[in-house]
Amino acid sequence: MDNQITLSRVANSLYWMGRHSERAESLIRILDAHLKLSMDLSTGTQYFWKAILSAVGCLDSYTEKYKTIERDNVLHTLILDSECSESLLNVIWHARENARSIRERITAEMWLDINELYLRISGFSESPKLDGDALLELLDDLKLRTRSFQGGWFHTMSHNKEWQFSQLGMYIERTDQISRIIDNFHRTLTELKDDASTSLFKWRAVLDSLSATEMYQKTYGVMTVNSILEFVFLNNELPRSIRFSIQAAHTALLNITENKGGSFQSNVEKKLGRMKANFDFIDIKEISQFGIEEYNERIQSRIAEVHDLIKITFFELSEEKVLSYTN
Amino acid sequence: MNNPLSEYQSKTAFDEMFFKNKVVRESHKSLKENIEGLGSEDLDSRQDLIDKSMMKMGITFNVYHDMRGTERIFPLNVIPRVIPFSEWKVIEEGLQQRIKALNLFIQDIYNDQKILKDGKIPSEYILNSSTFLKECMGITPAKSIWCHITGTDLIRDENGDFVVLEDNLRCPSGVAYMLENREIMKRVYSTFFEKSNILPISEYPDHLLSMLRYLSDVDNPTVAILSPGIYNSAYFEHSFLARKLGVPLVQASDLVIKDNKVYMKTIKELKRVHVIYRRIDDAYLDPLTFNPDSLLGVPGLFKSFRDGNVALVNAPGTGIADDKLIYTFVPEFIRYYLNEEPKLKNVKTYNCTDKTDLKYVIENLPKLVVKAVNEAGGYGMLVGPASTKEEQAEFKDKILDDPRNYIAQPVVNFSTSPSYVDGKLGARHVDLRPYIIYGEEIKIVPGGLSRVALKENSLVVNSSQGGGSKDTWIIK
Repeated sequence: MDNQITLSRVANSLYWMGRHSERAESLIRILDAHLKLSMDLSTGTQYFWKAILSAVGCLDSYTEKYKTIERDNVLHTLILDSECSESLLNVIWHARENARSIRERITAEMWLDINELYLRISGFSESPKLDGDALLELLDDLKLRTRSFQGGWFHTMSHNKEWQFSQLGMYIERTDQISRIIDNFHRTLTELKDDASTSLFKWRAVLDSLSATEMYQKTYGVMTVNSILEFVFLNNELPRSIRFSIQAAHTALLNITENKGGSFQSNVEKKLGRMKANFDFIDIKEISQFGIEEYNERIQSRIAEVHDLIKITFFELSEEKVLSYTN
Repeated sequence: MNNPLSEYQSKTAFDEMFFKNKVVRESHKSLKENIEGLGSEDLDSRQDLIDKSMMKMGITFNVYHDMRGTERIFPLNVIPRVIPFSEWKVIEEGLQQRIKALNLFIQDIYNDQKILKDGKIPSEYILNSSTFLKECMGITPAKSIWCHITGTDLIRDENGDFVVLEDNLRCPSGVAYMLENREIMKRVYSTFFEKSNILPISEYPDHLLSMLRYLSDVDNPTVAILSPGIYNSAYFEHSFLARKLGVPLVQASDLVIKDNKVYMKTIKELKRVHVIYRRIDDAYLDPLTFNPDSLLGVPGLFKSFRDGNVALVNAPGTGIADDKLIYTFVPEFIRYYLNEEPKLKNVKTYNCTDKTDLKYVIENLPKLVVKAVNEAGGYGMLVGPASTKEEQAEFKDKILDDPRNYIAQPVVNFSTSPSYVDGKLGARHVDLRPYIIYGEEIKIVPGGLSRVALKENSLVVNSSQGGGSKDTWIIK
């Protein structure tokens, strides 16, 4: 029947809806964690604001407009600046446009939530003044709405192939986001040359950004930089760890290709399968020896390659394929 | 509690609720009591609820085509429009008769042209129309149906009679508003719906899907809706219908022609499509046959249609019956093809290619509505009484320059219905667009989209020009 047909364009939009909604959610969590961190810091907050601008990809558009790093300007850029392509406003707009272009494929509840999410932030962008309280309230509200959207996504939409594409997008994006967060924190803290005892609470902001602090506490009890890295890179139970995300992306991919596992039938399965295997058989000592920065770079470039292969395999039906197709 | 109707003034037009002497019509008694029972404040909050839920649900149309373009709601008025069942029956039968004749006319024009040979309509009117597609000559579409979906615009004249203003046989829009309006009104007036016998319209998507499937002889045909994409002003409706029908919504780039058959590009293979409800104009369907610059079209689609490999809804070429000059001949078509008298009348129309009519039109522009024969949406027209001297002069030149391209009609002071605007109930002009589906049978769900000119005294109901809508209640 018709509902078993997955159009390439539709798969593409669902994949991007997954990516953009995850990007929005990630940014909301980072902002929330940093607003709290900046209240604890007496000096040096600008380094952290800069780290987020860089992690999110808004640094260039920020420095074009402002000379120094100021909290309010950073917040404005990250949340409401329509000229910054990665601002929350734009990311949510993209998520909603993708959803709108396949509105008939998702459920009414999902559409209502994502539409409201957009209306809320675009309505806020018209209000004249951004004070801290109003902002925290907005973030809380957005967090609630993204959770509600995800609830509908998981619990009202059939877990068909189209849904698998949205999951694939979500986990590919999440892998990339976590890697960027770790990367930028790592660079900033290295740059600051704090000794570990005074900077531990700053490392905690990495966990906060991934909403992983409580789960960390339960798993390790004691806070060390090494354990924090191990947790966010390699824990296979934490939904916002890199290993968990890669495993989930891999599962979604195999559900799409109907591959029972064991080996690969296409380049995209090969690439993502290897990434998964690498994470299954590595420990934090080896990652540290490799270099945190280098390892993050490797993750990000591999993810970009996987993304390109997804595009080629599913979204772009080549002329050759069309010509060779026989009914 | 104040009575919102206490200061209601009906105008010179036929008012649907009150007689001239302010006595309420029988058909509107219960609605009147209902409104009076609510009071102004309650109406206000209900109107507010309607506006907010439309925005929330994204029942909007796009105004601009830029990034983050403006989306507007097509405001639904809190006061419904009531038409008694006995009057609806006349409309329904009249429309069925009209569509049957129009379809026979289109089939005839692209095949034997008997009507031209019999001299019932001058050949040049057909051949000079920009909507006549010579590429369709010799074609008989699946089940001999051309105009599968029609959205006829009707107005009520000074005597209260429904007359046909336009036929709209080219992918008319608005049906999603009709269906969503009803859902919203059910929430706003739940008790009223329980108490009275308002005929349901919820079967529309079923009728539509049955018709689409009927067009293919395959056991389980694949049906798709073809849309220009999210920046099209009616995208909401395309998506809405795909959802209600449970069929894929495709864009031209999703389709490919192979061996003269239409396929969709899926994530692993090509999937054959048998029936396409297309929401793009003839000119953009196929760059090989029509507009070569079109990026919206599918190269080879027309040939596939012509050879019977895919059904297109509505069929290309249907627009010939939409030409406003051809419209004047529809009563003649009914007599010619069906040997019946038309049940619904046309609006008096002046033919600018006729010397006497042309002279009258040019001398009486301030009293007339002039329309370009192939424009829609309230564009390309002159509303005489509301126009300036300059506009009249401009139209005079245009008409004399190309008389075939214009028709003129007297200004019809069409009916008013009480409408809630700016906190008050006022008389506002309304039209009616029922949606007619021609498949195995001709089906019309009771009612349609009523559009209302929200500006006082305005006769323009188009969404792009300050119009709103009303839920239409056919009450038995």
